[in-house]
Amino acid sequence: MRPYFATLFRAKWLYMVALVLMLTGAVAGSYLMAGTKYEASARIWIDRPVLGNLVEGANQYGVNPAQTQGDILYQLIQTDSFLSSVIRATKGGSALTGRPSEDAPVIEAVRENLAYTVVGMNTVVLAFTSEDPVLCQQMVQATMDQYRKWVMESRTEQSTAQLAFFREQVEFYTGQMNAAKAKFDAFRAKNPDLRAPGGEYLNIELNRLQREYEGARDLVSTAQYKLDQATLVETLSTGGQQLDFRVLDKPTVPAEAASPLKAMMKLLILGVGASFGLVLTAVVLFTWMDRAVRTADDLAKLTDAPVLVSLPDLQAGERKRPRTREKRARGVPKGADLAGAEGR
Amino acid sequence: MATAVKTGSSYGDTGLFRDLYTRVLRHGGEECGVLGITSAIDGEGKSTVVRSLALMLANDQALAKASGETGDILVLDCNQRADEEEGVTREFMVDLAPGLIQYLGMRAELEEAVKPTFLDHLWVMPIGGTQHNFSVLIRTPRMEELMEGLRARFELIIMDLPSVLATTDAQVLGALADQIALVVRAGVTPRRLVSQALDEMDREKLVGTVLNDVRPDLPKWLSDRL
Repeated sequence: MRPYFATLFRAKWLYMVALVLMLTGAVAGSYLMAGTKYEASARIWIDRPVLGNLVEGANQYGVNPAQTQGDILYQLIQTDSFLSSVIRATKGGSALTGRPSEDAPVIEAVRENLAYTVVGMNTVVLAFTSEDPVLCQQMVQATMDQYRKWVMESRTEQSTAQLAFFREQVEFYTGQMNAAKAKFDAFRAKNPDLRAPGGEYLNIELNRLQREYEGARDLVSTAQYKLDQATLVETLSTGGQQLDFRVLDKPTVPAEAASPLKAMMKLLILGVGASFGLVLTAVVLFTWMDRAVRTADDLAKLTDAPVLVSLPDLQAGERKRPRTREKRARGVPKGADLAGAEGR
Repeated sequence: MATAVKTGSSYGDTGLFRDLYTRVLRHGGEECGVLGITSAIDGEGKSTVVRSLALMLANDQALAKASGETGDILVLDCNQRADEEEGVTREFMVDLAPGLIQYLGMRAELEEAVKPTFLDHLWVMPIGGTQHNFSVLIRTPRMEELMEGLRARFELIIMDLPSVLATTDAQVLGALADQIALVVRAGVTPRRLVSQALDEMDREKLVGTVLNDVRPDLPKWLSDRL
């Protein structure tokens, strides 16, 4: 450790000046870069849907509805098209030109400042930070609106697909049922008297055909039931009645800056750390690069010959002695020149 | 009068140089008639060490008291340099010429080249300026004869030698000395150059090293803790 401290004290004023300059720069930079930030937020309540997804079962949203919706929201925020729609609905929409290369930085800036937090099982908090308070409120509102629109469109598409699927199922099973009925009727027509010799075998076959028919009929019934449910879901989605999230706290234009000191402190701590780090690095570097003989130990390592004497730096000692003390030591009266006492 | 010689480039504290000479005698033996002071490169303070050592010894008259001999000391400047103000003779207030070069070139007598100073037992033989064939002159028999003559006359000869790595003259002149001390300036001379100089010197004659311009690397309160 001693060599490093020695390097530091050897040029302590230089390091101190450098450190003060860097710290001043860090403070000024923190103040200028931190800026005044506003934050607008909205709280959204996420509930289980009234009618679940009939294809996958009723447990569409799993254990944590808010987490599921939060994940969907996260994925949407990562999508440029979604954010473009959000930005266009705000005063920042004029910054978008329609050219991907020019829009990308704008979208990325919005993505960095848009955040969501899942609170508990049913609540999602959506927030946007910016230096423009009005933009903050508009961004949050636009995000919610676009998200709601996406959800509705998704549900509509899903229910349309489900309808088509269940219709096909009904048709298919109806065909099967009709075929089984036709076989049953044909067998009865061909074998009207089941009490004839060998009739027990005919009965077995008849029962089998009947069970086949009844099975197909049950399938038709089930598929029809699902089709009816899917039709109802589509109706509700289209009518906007099946909304499983509600806004608890609408976004408003923030009146006060949000934690202005926090951002500044972070930058300041970073700047202070970097300043000390740079000075420390310089000290370590100069210590490693130092190849001069500085102490009697350094000299003793180079040769077996003894170090006869270590002569101090006389010039440094004279520089440190105050002029007044020098005069007093030489008996120079007050007001007289020191050079005069030396006969020069 | 000796204390008035203290300037910005000489050491007023003679205790250190007394220690230096004592250790030279201890490590090198009592029979040190010629002590050479050299360094790896120029600017390490060997001329200052030569001056201060000579002044201390002359002031003390320690030699005279100890040995009962004359105790005369000679400072022999063998270091050619561009700036005459940096030579050992600057503070002794003697003329730069005639000196060693003129004597070796047979342009001056010994009595003219060896000059007394303001101190009773201190003499100086300045280099005499710069000469392009100085390297040739010091390799002549006249140089050896000079040294023999000076040994007989002076109790101690302190030679201000050229830098080891600057010229091979240091090795030639160093061979004329009994002991050699290497001056190293703290914080300036790289270790590599010191090692190189040590490799080129006659290690048998190396009595020790002098670390010059040492500054405390840490404040006392921190140094005590580390």
